Amino acid sequence: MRALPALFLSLLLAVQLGGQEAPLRNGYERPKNGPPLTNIAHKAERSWLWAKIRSPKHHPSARMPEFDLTDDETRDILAYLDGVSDPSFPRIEWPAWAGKRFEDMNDDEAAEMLDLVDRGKAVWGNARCTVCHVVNGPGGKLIGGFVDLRAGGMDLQIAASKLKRDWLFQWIKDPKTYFPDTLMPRYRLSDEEIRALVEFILRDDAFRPPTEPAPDDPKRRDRQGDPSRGKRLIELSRCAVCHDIKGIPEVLTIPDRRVPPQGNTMDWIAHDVRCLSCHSIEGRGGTYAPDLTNVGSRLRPEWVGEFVQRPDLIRPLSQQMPKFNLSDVESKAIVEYITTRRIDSRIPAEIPGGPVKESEVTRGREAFRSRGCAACHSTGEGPGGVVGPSLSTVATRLRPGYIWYHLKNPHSVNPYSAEPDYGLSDEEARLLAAYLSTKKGK
Amino acid sequence: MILALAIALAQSESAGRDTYLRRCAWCHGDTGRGDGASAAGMFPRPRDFVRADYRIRSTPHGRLPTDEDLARAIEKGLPGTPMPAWEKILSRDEIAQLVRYLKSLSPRFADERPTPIAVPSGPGSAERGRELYRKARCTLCHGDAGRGDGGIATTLYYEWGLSPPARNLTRGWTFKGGHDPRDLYLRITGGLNGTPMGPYADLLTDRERWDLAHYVASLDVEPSETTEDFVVTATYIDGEVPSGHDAPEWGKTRPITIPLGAQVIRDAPIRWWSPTAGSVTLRALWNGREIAFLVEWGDPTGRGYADSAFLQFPAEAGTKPYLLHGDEDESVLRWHWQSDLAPVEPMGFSVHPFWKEGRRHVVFRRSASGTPGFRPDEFIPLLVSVRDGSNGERGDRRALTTWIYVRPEPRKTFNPWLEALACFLGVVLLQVWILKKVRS
Repeated sequence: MRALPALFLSLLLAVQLGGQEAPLRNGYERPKNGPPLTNIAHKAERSWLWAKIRSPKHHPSARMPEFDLTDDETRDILAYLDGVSDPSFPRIEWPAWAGKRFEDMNDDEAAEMLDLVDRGKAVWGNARCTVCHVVNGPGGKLIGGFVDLRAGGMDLQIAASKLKRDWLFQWIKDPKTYFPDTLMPRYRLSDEEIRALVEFILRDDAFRPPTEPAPDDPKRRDRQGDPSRGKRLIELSRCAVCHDIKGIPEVLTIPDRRVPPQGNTMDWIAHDVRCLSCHSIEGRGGTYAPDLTNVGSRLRPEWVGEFVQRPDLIRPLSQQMPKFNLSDVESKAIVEYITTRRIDSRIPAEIPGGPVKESEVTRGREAFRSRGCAACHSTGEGPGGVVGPSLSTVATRLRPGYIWYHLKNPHSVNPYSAEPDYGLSDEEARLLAAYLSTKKGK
Repeated sequence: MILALAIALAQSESAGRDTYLRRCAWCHGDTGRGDGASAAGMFPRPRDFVRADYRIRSTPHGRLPTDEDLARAIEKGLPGTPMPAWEKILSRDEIAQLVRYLKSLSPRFADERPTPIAVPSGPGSAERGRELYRKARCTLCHGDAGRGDGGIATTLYYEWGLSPPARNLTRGWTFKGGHDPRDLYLRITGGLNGTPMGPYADLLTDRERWDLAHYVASLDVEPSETTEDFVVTATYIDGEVPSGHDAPEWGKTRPITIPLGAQVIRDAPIRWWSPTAGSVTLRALWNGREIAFLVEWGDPTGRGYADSAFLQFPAEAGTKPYLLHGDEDESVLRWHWQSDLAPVEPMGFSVHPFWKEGRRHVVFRRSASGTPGFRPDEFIPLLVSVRDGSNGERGDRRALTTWIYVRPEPRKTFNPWLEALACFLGVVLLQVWILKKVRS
């Protein structure tokens, strides 16, 4: 076949990207893969925009094709984009000295700014922005999976010379107000944290490209672009195939955006933090993080409630979940959702065969040893391997019934799991599960 | 009276349904959703009649087609797609019933009255169209030479899977809605619903659209290129055989253009149905010591991973092995070029590839002696195959000719003009001699 007929591909993308809450009605619909340009003048510095439109491949990783525009044509397009930007785009109150360069600040201001940048760096690290974003090379494990296909997880190396601070603040505060289809989750950060993060991004050298974009040709900079010619160029160049631009008619069918009502419901939380960018449910969503289809039968609700608020390491060598700072109410909503809706009737809640006796735990410990489980797993008792996850606190995370079920069907969740299928008898699985169910850590 | 009409209408609709289920449902599906049993392997996909997002219309952008548009698509089929022409199989009445049935599948037809675009008469100028083609930025998708290799088409196709890739305008026979200037005028004016080819009704004037239609019609050159010849004559030249694809020597030989077929392959889908290249143009030159082949074919992207071409000959003189790889009794040898591999030197041939504006040109050059050995007037079996990596073609997913022949032309030892002149003079002298004899 011609690769994969793009008709399916677009369907696949939309579903994989998790950009759509509802699956597309059919394969002809295609979500736009570029950011909206209506308020681009509020987002990006003019010199950056000029370079981007004039020669999109100026940045090697850019996905935008070359449009072979002349300087004058570029100016006409910019004039149109300036004209359609919303004059009431909100402004942010900054301290009077916030925009100054370090050299121009007095000592107090500089000290405070340095402190802000440091705090911003901490926010950046804590929120785990690098799960998605590349900064000058490192970071962004999602790249190449699917985020790269859409305007997400952009390389932030150019951020400082591109972005305007008002926009950046509002973007971090609520990305979907600006770009409803973005994969960027809304982090629950306080205004002070966002302020610090903005300063970190705009002032740290990591976010500055080695060469600044070439400014508009100074000799002709005073020439005013003609918005009506710009509009015609935008239409002829079919910019609307990828970008939302006010006043430009659509040529393709655009899927309906169904935004769930705001509130502490799972629908809204999933839309707001984009769970399906990484996780999948019933075959829809990303492949970066574990599938959540039957997670309610696998994980203990108390652990889930804790984890979504403070996602700390399960598998230290593997991927991590970003910290969204979800509230207690939100975490409760998530727990309620998974314990009621994400249940697999094949997985028992408790170890089959009635309450566990102390003697069975001892025999289970013996079976764990004799079966050689410790070759891969550590349990906190004596030596253990590091190939599989540590089981020393497994019982705080997994439900006893699922431990039993997993021992019986080790490949049910991850068919490529390295764990061997020993074909354990119900009895043997019961003993091992009984033993592991005591592993609650401290 | 009204009741009678209503009954007649209902009957024709149910008759249309019968015909539909018998003829159309295999691809378009029982419910008309374009999901019939054979739909999965098709590109483009069968139309979804419920959605009624028809591409080929005589109506403005975003509108439904007229009854005539639908009837024409059924009668004439859609060239370049799996949709065949039904005019010899279905009667006019059956087609009219079908049209009525198709319209009943989408509620949109009940509310909307499609009105065709008024086509003003007026000759267009392909010459003015040529300039417009650039000014209206058609090149961004369709490419400078119209081969569908524009920056947008190729970029988006690769990284975002945008559907469909821009039409190669040099192949008129793949235009779904026909390639008359009038058809092209309608496509340009109304666009193709649901594709990036939007309407130009508001962007260009009537005259400009006519000019453009005439220019696009003039780009349609591929069908006239295909020859029915299966022998490549290697024209004898004095001096060196060229390595460059643009050497003037190539003008001395007659090119032949051979259609390419799809290869039967082991894995699904059993046959490689959709190779990029539809035909390949071949030229050959030799000078008694060396021989050079110029192979040219359409490749919109020119940057695919593992694009390749080869010339295949029998490994043993006097044999004609099994088509692609030969078999255990009779083997083949190849002169092979692949875009991402260095040529294999020990084979003793050199390769000179070039790509521009949607066409690849590859020169293969080798000594005329060796295996196979090229001798004057000897027919040597030859098979040509090309592969477009950017179309997912790998391994045996490729397009190939059947066995054709190459015949090196013998050296011209005399000048045919002089010979004709000598004959003429000889005859005149003979006549003079005979006349003299007779008179004396």
